[in-house]
Amino acid sequence: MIEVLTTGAANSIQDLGRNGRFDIGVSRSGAMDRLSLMIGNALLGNELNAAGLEIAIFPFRLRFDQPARFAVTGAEGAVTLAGRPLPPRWAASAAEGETLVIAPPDKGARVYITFAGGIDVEPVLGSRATDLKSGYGGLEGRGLKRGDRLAVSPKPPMRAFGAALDPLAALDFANPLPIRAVPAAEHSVFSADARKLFSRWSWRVTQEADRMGYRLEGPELKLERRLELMSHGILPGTIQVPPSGKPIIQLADANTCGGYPKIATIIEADLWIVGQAGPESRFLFTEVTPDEANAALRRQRLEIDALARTVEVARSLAG
Amino acid sequence: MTLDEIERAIALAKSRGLAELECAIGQGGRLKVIVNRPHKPVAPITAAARPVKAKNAIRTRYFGVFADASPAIRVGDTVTEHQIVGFLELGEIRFAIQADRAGRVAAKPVKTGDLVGYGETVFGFE
Repeated sequence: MIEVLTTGAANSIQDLGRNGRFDIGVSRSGAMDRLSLMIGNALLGNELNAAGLEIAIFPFRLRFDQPARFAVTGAEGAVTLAGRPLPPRWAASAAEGETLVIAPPDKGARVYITFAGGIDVEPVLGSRATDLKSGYGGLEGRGLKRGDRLAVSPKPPMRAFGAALDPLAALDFANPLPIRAVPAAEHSVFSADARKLFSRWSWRVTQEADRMGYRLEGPELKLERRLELMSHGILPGTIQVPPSGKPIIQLADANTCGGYPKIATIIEADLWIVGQAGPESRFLFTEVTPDEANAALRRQRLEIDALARTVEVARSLAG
Repeated sequence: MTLDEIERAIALAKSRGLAELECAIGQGGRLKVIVNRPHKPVAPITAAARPVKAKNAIRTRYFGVFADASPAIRVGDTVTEHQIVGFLELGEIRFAIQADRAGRVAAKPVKTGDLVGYGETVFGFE
């Protein structure tokens, strides 16, 4: 078991989410930065979909009541195990009684803690992800609180190592973050000015930014003509423009349908960047084709597969 | 054999710096990937190539690519015992290079991206 010593209610158990039930209104949920969760799982030889902890409120502290193997990935900052600093994207062993402390990150917004064998909570609708909006999945459908105890597999110590794969290295949070998006269904209904502004403006993430969605601040995006839309399906990454003209990015815990016109959809391969960008970050949207979006995702998966295979080889050599 | 598998083989060859990769596929089939890259001299990776005059040194235990710690440790810095002073990358994973003693760094003949061989000195102490 592990015991949560310090946390905030926005910290939760997440895997890659609930897919395939959008038609009955079940949101995807899952990690906001799926890439970092997958790297954490790959480092431990887990299924990439194994459940870990998503930490967005700091400091976070937990104590191991048994020996276990874990990895810390995602946002970078001071991480210590029993007072010893751990490098970023690192997998290590904890002895019984040791405490893991995650300080507020210097770079990025969300830290992922994964455990060899995952976290043993009951799957709901095929996933261990916490849907904080609807209140199910994860641990009783809620965020973590002090005193929570979670079941993880006991594991003997292993030699610590990390991932060379470093997606965060390419991000400079002091500047607008480049994010790729494909034009959405109503893209052509926006005025020529609005379409131009959308891809040239450096959009600021407001304080209204959580697992459901991020509201962006910038110029008003106007429609060419009035539009009455029936409610329709939306996905994590959909960028809607409500009557205020200020875009909203729908994210992990978003509703599965909406009625606002959509200007673009952030590609799956770049959604993790949104998950690592907190309020006051800025986004610069670049238009790509669906083919380019698929190719980017395939490349990302190849990198994770390569990491998982290297870990497998290293483990078999180490015995 | 799918397009995905071929792409994977190419990515693997590239990431490992291989010029040629051949593997068996299915029953009696073979796939050969040849990566076209300009020939450039490979940096010498023997311990003798970067002589360090320090009797107390941290030597590598593997062959790999050196990566600095963050922040990078420089000559003149003082390190503590067990401090992580750099990394050695083997493909997609990296191992920590730890100081086996406390002291002041007198030599650091490698930088991020350098290939290092077995037993090569990466840090020298006063």
